[in-house]
Amino acid sequence: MKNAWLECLFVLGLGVSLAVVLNHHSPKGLDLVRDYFPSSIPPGTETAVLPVGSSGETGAAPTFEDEVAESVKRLQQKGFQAATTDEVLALMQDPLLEAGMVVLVDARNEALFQERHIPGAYLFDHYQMEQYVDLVLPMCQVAEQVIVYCNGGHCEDSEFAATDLMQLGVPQEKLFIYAAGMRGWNEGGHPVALGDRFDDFEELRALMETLPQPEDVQP
Amino acid sequence: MKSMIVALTRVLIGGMFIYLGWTKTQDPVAFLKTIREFGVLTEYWQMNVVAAWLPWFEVWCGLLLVLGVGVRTAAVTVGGLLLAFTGMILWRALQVHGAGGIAFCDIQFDCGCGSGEVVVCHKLVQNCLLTFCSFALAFVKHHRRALWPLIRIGKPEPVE
Repeated sequence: MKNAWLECLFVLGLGVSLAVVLNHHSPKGLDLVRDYFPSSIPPGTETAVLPVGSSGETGAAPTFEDEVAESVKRLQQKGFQAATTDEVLALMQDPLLEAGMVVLVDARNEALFQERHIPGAYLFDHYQMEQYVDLVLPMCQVAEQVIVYCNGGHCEDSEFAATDLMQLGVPQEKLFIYAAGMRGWNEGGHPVALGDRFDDFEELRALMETLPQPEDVQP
Repeated sequence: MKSMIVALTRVLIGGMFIYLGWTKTQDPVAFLKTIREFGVLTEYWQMNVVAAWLPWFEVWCGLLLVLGVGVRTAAVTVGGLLLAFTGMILWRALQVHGAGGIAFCDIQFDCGCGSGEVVVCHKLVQNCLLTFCSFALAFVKHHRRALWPLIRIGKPEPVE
């Protein structure tokens, strides 16, 4: 009997202690006292679930456009302004972007950012905020407009990142959320940057001139 | 023969827990988001604790099973965890089934198990089998191929 208690103590006690220590020392570890979902409305579970074999375009599953429309409504309820693909596209050719008066913020994680991001965007992963805040916050404070995006649709990370920025002193009037996000950007076939932040605006402008103008782009 | 089957079951379940737990430790944020989608835990700190500690604890229990250390407690713990996971998956699947009218075995989602999106029916059957095997491991009197006989319950059987 004594052995059984010792075994329980060993397995559970050491297991929990190790978990605490390993989470604390892991670079990807979570902060136990931080609310990672500030003032959020839990997402509808049914929208995240698809029947076997469904790609989301058929049946009762909502389309991406429905998801974006829902997100825009939710953003407006929270007092955020939504930006459309055409508006973001127009900013790509705006000298204000190069001058730093308009700041694009990518609220996804580093792996997704490296894979592809909107040219000129700064990485600001809401869940690892402390790694990026020193670079991004001063940019946002001097900018006239800050556009935050994540994967698009039901993705809420852009809202959380915008909330972080707001709590750090960036006025909400400056903050816009691009609700279609990276998925909407990709579907439009717009230019993307790979790897670290792309800041060659001359090359970007040259590239944009070869692409359809915002008014020619299908909604 | 029996001891070989017991050892293989132990290594199989332990190996699965190590793999799935490790996958979650590499992306705790994704696991945290899945926990939130389940909607069972409402306080942020509860979600944080589960997302931060559970994956490491799973790896630990898996290691114990593979190595054969504290097998009985590790097996009961793993069985208990599996039982809880299975209940939560079933609960969520029933919610989806009720809301969307999707045939039960057509439902698939990321259950946060570390293996991505799964077909619910398959996952439930798999979990039931693993739960049964885990509890069965706990009732095996002697684990002859266990690494650390001092820690396990009961005296080791003499080696034939």
